[in-house]
Formats: sequence, structure tokens, C-alpha cells
Amino acid sequence: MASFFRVNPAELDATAGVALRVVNQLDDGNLSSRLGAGSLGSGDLEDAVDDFLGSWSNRREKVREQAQRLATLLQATADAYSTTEVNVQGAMSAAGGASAGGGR
Amino acid sequence: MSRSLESLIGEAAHGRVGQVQRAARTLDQLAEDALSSGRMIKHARAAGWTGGAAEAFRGAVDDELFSNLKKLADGCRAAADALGPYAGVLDEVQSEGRRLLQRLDALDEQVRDAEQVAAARSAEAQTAQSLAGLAADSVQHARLQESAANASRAAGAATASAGAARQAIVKAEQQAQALRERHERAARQASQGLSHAAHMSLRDGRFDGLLDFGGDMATVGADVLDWVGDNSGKVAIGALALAAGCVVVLTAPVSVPAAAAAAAAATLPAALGLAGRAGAISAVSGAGAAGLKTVDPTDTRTVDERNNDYIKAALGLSLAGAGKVAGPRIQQAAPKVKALQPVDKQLRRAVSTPGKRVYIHEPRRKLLGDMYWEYPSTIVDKAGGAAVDARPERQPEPAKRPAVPCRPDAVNGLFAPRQPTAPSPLGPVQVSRITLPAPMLVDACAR
Repeated sequence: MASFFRVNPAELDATAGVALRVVNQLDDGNLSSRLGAGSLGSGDLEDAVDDFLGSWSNRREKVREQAQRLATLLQATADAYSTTEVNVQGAMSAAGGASAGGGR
Repeated sequence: MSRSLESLIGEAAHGRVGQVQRAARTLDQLAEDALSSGRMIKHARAAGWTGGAAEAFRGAVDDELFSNLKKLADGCRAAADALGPYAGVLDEVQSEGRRLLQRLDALDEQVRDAEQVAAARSAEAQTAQSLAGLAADSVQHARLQESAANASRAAGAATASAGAARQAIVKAEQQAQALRERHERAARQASQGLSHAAHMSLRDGRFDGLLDFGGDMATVGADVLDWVGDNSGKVAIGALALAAGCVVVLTAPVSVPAAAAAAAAATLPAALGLAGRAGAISAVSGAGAAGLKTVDPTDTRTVDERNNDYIKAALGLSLAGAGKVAGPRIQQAAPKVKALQPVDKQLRRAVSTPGKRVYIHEPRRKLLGDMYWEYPSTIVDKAGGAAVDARPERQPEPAKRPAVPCRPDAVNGLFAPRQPTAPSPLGPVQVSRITLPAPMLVDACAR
């Protein structure tokens, strides 16, 4: 175990949030609908958008999976650190309270 | 005349500016978020988080993610940059088109009114002229003559007004034509920008689908062999270039003298199996080469033209590849096909060897469903980016893929009509007729 560590759970949580936003944006259905199929005013342009989506589908899916995995990992890590912090804080408070109570 | 916005500015009338702007914003936001998440993950990995867990996290984050995020961001930004200006032009064309429509409606009305006035005044002039002839005295005659002249002048003025309005209509219609052309130019530019953004996915991309491609080809090869096994004798040979999305059907009555029974029985299925692979590899390389050319942003072909070129390249090279082995001298062609095997092996090694990458096109499912794939043939070294020599080289065999079960029923449907034949003596294979026009096949066979 490392003798020293530094962490900012809020930062990890925020990073997970952005990664999740990317995951959500990369969702095939979401992206297709937001790219305005049927309302671009040009059949050729619609084809080009389809072409664009198709060309990027593999990499998009890969990024989506990687970002999803990282977001889950980061969120769980942030939660674990935060929970530990709260638990330790609670234990300290309890210990401090008991100590103070014992002194009366 | 009944006019509509569509009749003036064409399909631009159906575009929704807000939707196009939203699409551009979506892509831009995606690019921004992809970059931000990359930066934040890097920061968490590099400095923001230290300790044992942080070390474990660093090990869990693949560098490829950052590269993918950056490339995705670049592609999305390029697509957003293509759509943004188009939205502006669409907005202007629609606004100007609506103004023109109102003006043309007003001009139409002006023409109608002026024509009515001209007709009424003209009739009035004729009536006055007729009455003047019947006038009882000279005073009345003069008055009626004057009325006829006035009415005639008014009719002339109204006719001139109608004429001017018609000229204005012609001018407005020319303006509408200019609007349509402006929109078409903008749409074409945006399409080219998007195509450029689409092809950015090809640059330096690791191709994950090649193994799937190999699996597909193994399935097809197994099915074809199974089918041929069931139809030895006079058969229609289908060289199925599945990976390229092209089905090439060659009709090949095979005469089978008993003398070479054993040898042909051994070589025919093998040659056919190779034929599928050779055709596919050739098609793949050709389509890929054709596709890579379009990375050039100055390429002015439309999407349809480009896709047609892909299909032609894939079909032609598929025919050429298949023709080398399934042509008139299928047995003699077998050695040529075998020469392609090392290339096939090298491709497989490239995707199964860490540290090597393969340029590859993504599937283009809208063309011929899921069958049409494009693969370029260039393999690059990950470290240096230099092209690897694609010539055959002697290296140990890669691990064999698991056997793929045959599906003869599925394959039989591809080659109609099915003609089950009795076993015949085997002999030299002779292809008597090729059912598809294949100038490239002729070239290939002549080589």
C-alpha cells in the first residue's frame, strides 16, 4: 500500500460526468436524431451525414465503451473515497465525543 | 399561377435551419466534450490523483483512448465546420425565397388586375367608338370619341403595366434560380466537408473488423466448399466476394474426364476456396485504394459518384481476382492464388500483432446492406508510421481460427437455379461462359 496519496473525489466525479456526457452523446440513436435526418434541406447532404456517421461508427463505439468503463471506474472510486472520508470523519467525531463524554 | 416556396428554391424549402444549426452545435459540443474528457482523464491520471489506487487507474487507462478522443473530436469539429456555414446559407436562401414568393404573388396579382383593367378599358373604348357612330349630333359624337380615346389610352397603360409586371416576374424567377444554385453549391460544399470529416476516421485507425472479415470469409469459403461438394459435376460456380459486397456469378460447366478424377477432386474445392479469398482480397484492396483517394479534400465527386466508384472498383477487382482462379484455366491459376496467401497471412498477422496498425475503411452499410465493406491494403508500422512491405514474407503460420460450421442451405439459395447432378468423372476445369461483363477480368486473365 502506498504510504501517501492525494485525491480530489469531486474532480474524479466531474471527470466521470464529462465522460458520461460523451457516452450519452455518442449513443447512435441520440446522435442520428440530433443530426437532423430528413430536415437538412438536401438529399446529398443527408447522404453525407449518413456517410459520416457510418464511417465513424466503429471508433465511436469503441470510445463509447472506453469512456463508459472509465466513467464507471471513476465514479465508483470517487464514491469509495468519499464514503471512506465520511466514515473516518464519523468515527473521529464519535471518538472525540466519547472522549469528551468520558472526561465529564 | 400557383406558386410554392419549393417551386422557387427546390429542396431547400424543406430544410429546417434550426435543426441544421442544432446538428452543428451537437457535433461541436461532442468535439469539445471529447477533448475535455480526454484532458480531465489525463490530469487525473498524471497529477491530480496519486497513490496506489491512482497507479492502478493509470494502468487501466489505455493511451489509445486519448488518441481516439482526439481523432473523434477532430472529425466532429470538421463536420460541424461543414454544417455551420450551410445553415447560414439555408437561412438566407429560405428568407430570400419567401420574400420572392411574396413578391411574385403580388406581381401575379398585378398582372391579373392590369389585364382585367386593360380588357375593361378596351371594351369601353370599343363601346364608345360604336356609340359615336350612332351619335345624334356632332357634340355628342365628339364627346364619345374622346371617351373612346381615353379608354383606349387607359387600356394601353394597363397592358403596359401587365407587361412590366411580367418582366418583373421573369427577373424574380431568375433570382429564384440563382437562389437554388446558391443552395446547391452550399449543400455540395457541406457534403464535401462532411465526406472529408468521414474520411478522417480512416487515418491511422486501427481496424477491428478485419478479424470479423476473416470470419466472414471463412464462413463463406466453408459454405461454398460444402455446396460444391454437394454439386460435383456440371456446376454453376459462384465466386462470392462477400467482403466487398459484390456477388460475382460465373457459370462454369465443368467437364470431368475420369482420368484426372483424384487430382481434380482434390484441387477443385481448394481452388474454389482460394478463389473466394483471392477475389475478396483483390476487391478489398481495390475498393480501399479507391476509397483512400477520396481522403483528398479537393475531390469534387458527389457522394453517389464516389460510392459508384467504390462499387466499380470492388466489382472490377473482385472479378479480376475471382477470374484468375475461376477463369478458363482454374487449375493453372491455382499457383497465382497461392501467391496471395502470404498477403492474407500478413494482414491477419498485422491485426493480431500488438504494435501494428492497419488503415481500414469503416463499413458502409447503406450500400448493399451490410455486405459492402471497404478495406485499403496499406499496413503501417505503429512506431514509425512507415509502410510495411506488403510483399509475401516467410513467417510462421498464425494460429488457426476456430472452424466455422458450414451452412449449405444458406449458400444454395445464392446460386439459383440449383441443379443437383449425378457424380461425373473429373477432369480439367473449363469455364465456358462468364455471365457478367467483366473487362477487368479479361485484363486480369490476359496478364
